[in-house]
Amino acid sequence: MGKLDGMVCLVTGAAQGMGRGMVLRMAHEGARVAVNDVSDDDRLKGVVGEMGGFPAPANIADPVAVRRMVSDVEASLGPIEVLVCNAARMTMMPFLEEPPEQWWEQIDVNLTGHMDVITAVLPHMRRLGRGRIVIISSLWGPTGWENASGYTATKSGLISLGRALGRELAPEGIYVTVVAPGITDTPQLQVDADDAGVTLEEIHATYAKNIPAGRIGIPEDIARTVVFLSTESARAYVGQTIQPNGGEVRSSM
Amino acid sequence: MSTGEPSTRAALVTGASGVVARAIVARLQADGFLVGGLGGEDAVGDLALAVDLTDRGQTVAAAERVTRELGPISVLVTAPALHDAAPFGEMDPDRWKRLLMTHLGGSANACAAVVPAMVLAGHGTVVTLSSWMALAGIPGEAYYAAATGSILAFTKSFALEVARKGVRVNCIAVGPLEATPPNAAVRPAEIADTVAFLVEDGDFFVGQVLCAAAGAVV
Repeated sequence: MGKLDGMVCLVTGAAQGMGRGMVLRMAHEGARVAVNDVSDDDRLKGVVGEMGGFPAPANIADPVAVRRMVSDVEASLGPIEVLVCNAARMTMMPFLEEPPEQWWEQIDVNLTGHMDVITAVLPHMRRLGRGRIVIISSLWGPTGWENASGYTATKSGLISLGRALGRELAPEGIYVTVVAPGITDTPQLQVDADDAGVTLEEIHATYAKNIPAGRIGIPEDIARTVVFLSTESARAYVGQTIQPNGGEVRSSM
Repeated sequence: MSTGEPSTRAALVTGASGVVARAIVARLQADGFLVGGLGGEDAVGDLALAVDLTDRGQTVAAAERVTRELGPISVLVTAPALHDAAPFGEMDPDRWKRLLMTHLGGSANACAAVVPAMVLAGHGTVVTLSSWMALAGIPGEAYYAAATGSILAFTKSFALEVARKGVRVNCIAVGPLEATPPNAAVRPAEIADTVAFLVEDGDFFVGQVLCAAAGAVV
C-alpha cells in the first residue's frame, strides 16, 4: 500500500528536475497526480506518460490560466488534497544590472504565482476540511546569494508565506509546510556549469565539496521529503521549513 | 533509497520509558528493527536495560550488550525524559546539574557509546530529541530550555564531524504533548513517524532540527 493511496495531488513546475521527481514518487505512492508546467510540451507529455498522470499546463504567473487549470484538474480528478508549489524561475545577474522586468518575472512566478495557485485550491480544501500545501523554497532562501537577489527574495518570501499560512490554516485541518532543498542534481546544474565555464562533472564536484554529506542531492531526496509532508504526520510541522540539504545550512529560519 | 537502508536491523533508544520513546520503540519494531531500550526500570524494548544514562561507562557497557545480543546498531534515538522547572535563579545547583546531565549528558553519552561502531561500519542514523521550548523561549523554563537547547547545538556540530563517514545526525524538537485545544498537541506517533522518515528517507538530512510542535512554535 502506498503512502498517498488515491490522494489527488497537483505539482507545479513538474516537467523536469525536482518537480518531475516528486510527481514520479507521489504516483509510486499511489497518488493521482496532476502535472503542471508552463507549456504542454514533450517534457510534460513524457512525465504524464511515464506515470499515468493528468496534464495541467498553465503559466502560473497568469491568474486566469491558474483558475482554469485548477478547475480542470478538480473536474477530472476531484478536489486537490495536496498542492506542491514547486515551479520557479531563476536568473542570475547583479542586482543593479538586471532589467527590472526580468527581476520582477521571478517574483511574478515564484511568489505571486503560487499565491494565486494556493488561492485557487483553498476553497475545495476548506470544504473537505483537510489539505496539505508543500511549498518548495531553496537553500538560498535562508542564506541569500549574490547575483540572485530576485530569486532569493522569492524563496525567503515563500518561507514566511508558509509560516503565516501554516498558522492561519492549521485550525481548519490544512497543513502548510516548506521544503528548502540543497544543491540537487537537476538540469539547472548544466546552466550553472555553463555560466561558470566548467563541465557538469566539475560543477558537481565543486558543489559536493561544500556539502557535509559529501554529495549533492538527487530529486528522489526531495521527493521523499515531499511525500512525508503530504502524509498525516505533517500535522506536527505547522509552518515549518524542512531542509534536505546535506548539512550545508543548519540554521532554522 | 538503497544507500539509506540500514544493512542491519538493530536500533537503540535511550530514555525508553517516556511516552514518546515508547512510540518510537514500537514504530522501529514495526519496521523490523530489534530495539534495545535503555532507561529506568520501566524501559521497553526487545532488550530493555536499566541504566544510569548520565554515566558514560554504564551507557557504553549497555550499548555493547545490545550489540552482542541484538546485532550492530544502525539507528540511535536519544530521548531524555526529565522535566524540571523553576524561575531562573531558584533552581539549586544539584537539580540543574541533574537536568543538564540527563539531557546533554545523556545524549552525548549515547552518541559516544554507539557512533564509533557506526563510523567503522560506514553508516548509521542518529536522531536526538530536544524540545520546542528550546526554540520558543518560555518564561519559567530557562533551565529546561538551556538543557534541551544545548542538544540542538551539539547535534549540529557532531553531525558535521561524522557526516562524511556515513553517519547522519539530526534532531527533532518535540512539541507539547498536551495542549488546549487538543489539536494543538503533538502526538507521539508523529514523532515516531518522523524518526522512521529520517531513517528510511532522510539520507540528505544532516545537522537539521525538525520542529514537530503542531504550531506551538512556528
